[in-house]
Amino acid sequence: MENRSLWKIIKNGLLDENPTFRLLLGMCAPLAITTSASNAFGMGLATTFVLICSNAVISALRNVIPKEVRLPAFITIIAGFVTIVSLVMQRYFTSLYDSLGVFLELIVVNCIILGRAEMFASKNKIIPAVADGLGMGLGFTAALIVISTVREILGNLSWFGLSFFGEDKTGMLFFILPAGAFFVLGMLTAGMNLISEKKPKKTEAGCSGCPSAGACQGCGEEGGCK
Amino acid sequence: MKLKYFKPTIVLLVICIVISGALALTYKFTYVPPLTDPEDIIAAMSGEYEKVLPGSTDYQLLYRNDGYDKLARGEVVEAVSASNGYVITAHSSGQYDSDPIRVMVGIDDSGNVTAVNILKISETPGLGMKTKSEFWLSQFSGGNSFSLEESQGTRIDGVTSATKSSRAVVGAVNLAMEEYRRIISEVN
Repeated sequence: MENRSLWKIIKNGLLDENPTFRLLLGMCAPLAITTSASNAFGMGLATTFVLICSNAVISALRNVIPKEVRLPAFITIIAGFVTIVSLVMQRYFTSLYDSLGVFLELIVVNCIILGRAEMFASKNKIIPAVADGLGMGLGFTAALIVISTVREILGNLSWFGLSFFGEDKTGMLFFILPAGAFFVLGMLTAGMNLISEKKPKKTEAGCSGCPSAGACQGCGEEGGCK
Repeated sequence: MKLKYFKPTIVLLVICIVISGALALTYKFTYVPPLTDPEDIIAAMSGEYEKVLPGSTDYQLLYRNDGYDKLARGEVVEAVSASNGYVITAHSSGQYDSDPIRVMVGIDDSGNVTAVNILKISETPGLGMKTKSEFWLSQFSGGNSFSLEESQGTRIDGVTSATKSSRAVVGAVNLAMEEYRRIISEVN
């Protein structure tokens, strides 16, 4: 595989198919833990690690796992990696473990991971699968950090836990509350759409004009378009 | 009998066994056994005791019960006597029942709180987690009975939108104060 197409796979996860802003997958973490940037960073890295490992293993086993049991097999592999991450984090990064709470274990059911296993890793070789995990993971981390930056600065007047005006000052609480998460996510998604709309429009129908073409690759038919 | 009927089951079984083995190994390397020896506990915790009860020395562990590691809820889990007062630790659950807040309270000889520190907390980041801030916890210093409402002991200003977490911390401090009174009445 050429370096160029590997880069394309990574860039795909970061921008074109950003799991949070473009695919709107795995919305639990972007809404729940983005109240502080440091949590978002920790959560993003944990998810990226699980995504890379599970993509690599699932890609390596793609010819071994029978079709009938692929979902339980994928979930077992993903849950294994998540538990390893949470055990290691509990031992060495206790305060981060405590502040992520239940959401760390919930990575198991984060549909980005199962989605990439099903759509990409089970159909590609190991190196592209790892690149896909890296791209998707970094895209997810970047999205979490952007959302949490907006929410933490406006809602808590701090960034990465560093307070701008002292701990006793309160910002606009709306942004820390769940409603603020929906608001910020919606605004940022709209912003992403605005940016991508300025590019020359893809007019063609069928797979070449489809934003999810990379995800379903392979059937060779143009759906109902031709 | 055809192999194809059994292959999915066998593959899944092998995957499960391999993953379980990997988990067992990780658990073995990351497991820290709970401290049981009083001397070890005091050696590990004396920095924390000093923080809530400034100027204290000569710590004696009165007890640390099983609930400390099992995260029992609504319970006093540790009591320590020191040269100039007591340090009492209590658990109380806020947002999540499975993850109670562990609150350490320093009480001086006159029966007032010197400082409160939170040792373990998993509340919502940005909301309940704010109870951990020194600014919020400083409200407890000097009082001996606390409430989020007016006219009952020292009034604590709850963290906005985090009433459950605030209530849990206040509850844990009050539990610790009750335990303090019990210990004092036994000593006298």
